[in-house]
Amino acid sequence: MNKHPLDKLFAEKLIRQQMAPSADAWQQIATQLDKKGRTTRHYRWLVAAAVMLLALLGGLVYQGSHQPVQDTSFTEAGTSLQPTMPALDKQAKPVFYLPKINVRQVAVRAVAVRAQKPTAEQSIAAIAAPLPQEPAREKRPSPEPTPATGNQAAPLLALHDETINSVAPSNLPPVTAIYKPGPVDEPNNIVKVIQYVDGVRKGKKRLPSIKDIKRKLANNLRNNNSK
Amino acid sequence: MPCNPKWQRAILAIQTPTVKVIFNNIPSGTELIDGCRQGRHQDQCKLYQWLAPQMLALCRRYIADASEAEAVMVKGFLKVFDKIDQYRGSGSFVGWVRRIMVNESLSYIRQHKNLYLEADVELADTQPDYNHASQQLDADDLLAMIDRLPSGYRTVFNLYAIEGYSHREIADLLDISVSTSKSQLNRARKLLQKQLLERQQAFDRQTAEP
Repeated sequence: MNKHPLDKLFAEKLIRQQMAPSADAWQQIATQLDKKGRTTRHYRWLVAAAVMLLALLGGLVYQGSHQPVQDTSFTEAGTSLQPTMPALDKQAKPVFYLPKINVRQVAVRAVAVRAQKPTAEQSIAAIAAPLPQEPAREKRPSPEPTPATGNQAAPLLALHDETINSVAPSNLPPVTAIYKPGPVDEPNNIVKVIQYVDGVRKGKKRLPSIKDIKRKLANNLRNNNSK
Repeated sequence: MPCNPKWQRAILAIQTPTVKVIFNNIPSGTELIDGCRQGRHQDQCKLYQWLAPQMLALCRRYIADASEAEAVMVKGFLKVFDKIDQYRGSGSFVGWVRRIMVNESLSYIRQHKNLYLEADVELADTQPDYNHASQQLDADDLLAMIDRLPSGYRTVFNLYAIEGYSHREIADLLDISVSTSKSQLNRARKLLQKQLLERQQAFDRQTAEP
């Protein structure tokens, strides 16, 4: 396309035109750039500090979760649980209140509770063995505590809404199990849930879908009603 | 901010041919751009001094008020330093900076709502002698003629004739139709031709008198 001669005239003369800006113009730019530079420097420091803090915290948590369980924790757990389980040795309904703790500690506490009973060896065996009967039958075991089945009245295990976070080792996703208060057939179920959570964490077990959990709850409700 | 005084001096004497040689010897593009990407103030200063004169002239073409044009150029340079990471190296860097300056100028014009699109101009369709004009007139004369245009004509003429934007692009930038862009350009041309003819006649009279 041929350029209009008028356009050509103006473009040739004006495209190369230069004008000296005042010294003030650069000063304005320089102060703005300085200001921005300072804020970004501050920002960088903040980010660096935050990263350090997170790394430190992460390290502590990691170490905490990987520390071998000490014998003293048994007694510690036992005493701390004592006030909330009235007359356990009289075979009354035990009541547990789980504080927010990590999986191993819960396991230890559960064992500690059982250890006060004569059947301590059994419960330790239960921890050591993979989930006894129910998970073997079910293809997708649920973290929901299974309700009482059969004729025996189950002891109540009243739990607060508690979250047990399993601290994931480096390459596995973390798993969170949320306990709802309600009756469970035996205190040993905590151990099962813990094992289940550990299983999911290690990729050996799958999490149940919401649909399955709902179906299971509906079944339980129907069973209870028919009883 | 530390800044080489040599450049400061160069900028004051910008119009002289010797300075133009110095400016052509600037450590070329990529080094300077990389320096600016890393926020090196020395390089930002050099880049500014390399491009500011032509960018000020560009803004000045759109905005007749010299101090306003300079303020717009300052804003444009801040944007250039801010967004220099977005320059991917495809196409000329100067072209990229020019586009930023054009956009800044247009947003100034839009903010100050002085983009009137004028009514018809009736002019005789006599063509001026462009060769003669090219010999007799310098950039400042032509700029003065552009300044006299209504801002809508001036903007479209600048974008089309000098920056080389298409009518489609102009229509999108100014939020007008393609045909409006075309008619604005034609009217701008006619007004400029009229001014050129007047200058030519004045020149002819001067040469005839003695």
